[in-house]
Amino acid sequence: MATTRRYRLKDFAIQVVVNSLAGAIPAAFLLLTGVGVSQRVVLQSVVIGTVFANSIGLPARFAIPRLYPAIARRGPAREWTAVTLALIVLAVFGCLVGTAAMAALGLFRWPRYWIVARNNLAICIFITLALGLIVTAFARIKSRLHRQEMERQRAVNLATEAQLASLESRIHPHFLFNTLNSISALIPVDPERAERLMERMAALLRFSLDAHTHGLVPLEQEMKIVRDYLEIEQARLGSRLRYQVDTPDDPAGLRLPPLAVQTLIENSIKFAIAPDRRGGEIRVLAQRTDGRLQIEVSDTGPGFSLDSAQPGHGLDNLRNRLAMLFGNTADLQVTRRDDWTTVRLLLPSSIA
Amino acid sequence: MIKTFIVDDEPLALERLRRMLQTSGRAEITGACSDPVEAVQQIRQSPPELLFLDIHMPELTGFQLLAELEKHHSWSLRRPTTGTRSKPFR
Repeated sequence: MATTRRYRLKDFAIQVVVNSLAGAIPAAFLLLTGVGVSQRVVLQSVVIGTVFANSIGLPARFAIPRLYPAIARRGPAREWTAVTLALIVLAVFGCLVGTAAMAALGLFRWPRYWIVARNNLAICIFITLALGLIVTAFARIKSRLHRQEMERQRAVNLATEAQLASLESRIHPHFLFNTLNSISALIPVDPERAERLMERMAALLRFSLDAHTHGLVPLEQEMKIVRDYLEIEQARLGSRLRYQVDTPDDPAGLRLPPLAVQTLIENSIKFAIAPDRRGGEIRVLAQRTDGRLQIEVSDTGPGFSLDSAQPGHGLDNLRNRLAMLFGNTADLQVTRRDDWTTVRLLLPSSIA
Repeated sequence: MIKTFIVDDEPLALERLRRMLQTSGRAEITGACSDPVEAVQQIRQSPPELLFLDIHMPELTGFQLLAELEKHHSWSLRRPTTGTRSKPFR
């Protein structure tokens, strides 16, 4: 973390220069506005300003960033209170040190120390609070922007990972070889069906490549890809795969993350249909309920729990994508009833 | 002609192999089955001379099927042949 890094010599030197420049501001002000002010007074102002700016600014630069990790998570109110109190303490301390430094420089005699210190106290606290709070506010904004950037970066990374994973599962060697074998087996006996299968495969690959996993696609598009995918898998599995796809009569305006339904069907085929020598059935039901898009993918498999989704695989990936796109307003549930396992995906109305 | 039996859970793969064997002119397909459990019964009823077994099949892998058959019958030669490389045999 940048705020807790070692206070290096270079930082220290820069800080002294910055503090001194800040301390010279009143002198510059005097020069510009104060007609007839003697050089001695201006010089004295520079020295006083520099001494105080450093006696307060250096400890502050050192202490506030170290204080921050302890208070940052307690909410803005406590944070500001803590910073304000710390600044006041630093101002009092800096005022005493600065006054002593001025006495040591011979600007006044030591017996007057407490009187001078008390005279300086109010202005020290005022300037320290004003500058300190402004700097703190800037630091807070900077750190928030940094945090937002990090989060955005993380979201982009996740989306890329999801896209890669979805590509990987679509162009998984097994799937590709299976499909090519199906097509090549069909060519002599049913060339038309072989051709159709080839087109389905091409459409599926095209869709996978084009799919931006952080965007949304129209329901019709996803459902077309779902039918293509089911047709390809049925060529391979034959009568073992039975399926039914129902979509709403008026799908206009309904949108969802690409390959969301396809991922669920891929799971059904892998875990419910392929392992059963008698095969099974998959039913897809997409509908509009209260303006929201609800999709149910049911199969006759043994059922499973969402918690068993392997990290990085289809279902886990889908869950991450949903969380990224909709926070906790999208819902993914698995239920089991009358020998049917149903995965229900409910998307929020704002996007549906 | 060699009496040949084919087991593959994927019907297209099964038909394809059947066609290839028939084209060779040296094999007589005495049976073909896409259900590995049913295949065990059919093979026991009339044991072929040559048996083609798919490996990845539901409920019974090719190796398990063979082990099941060899409880009653022993083949003179076993020659595992595979076109898959992405998964090791288990």
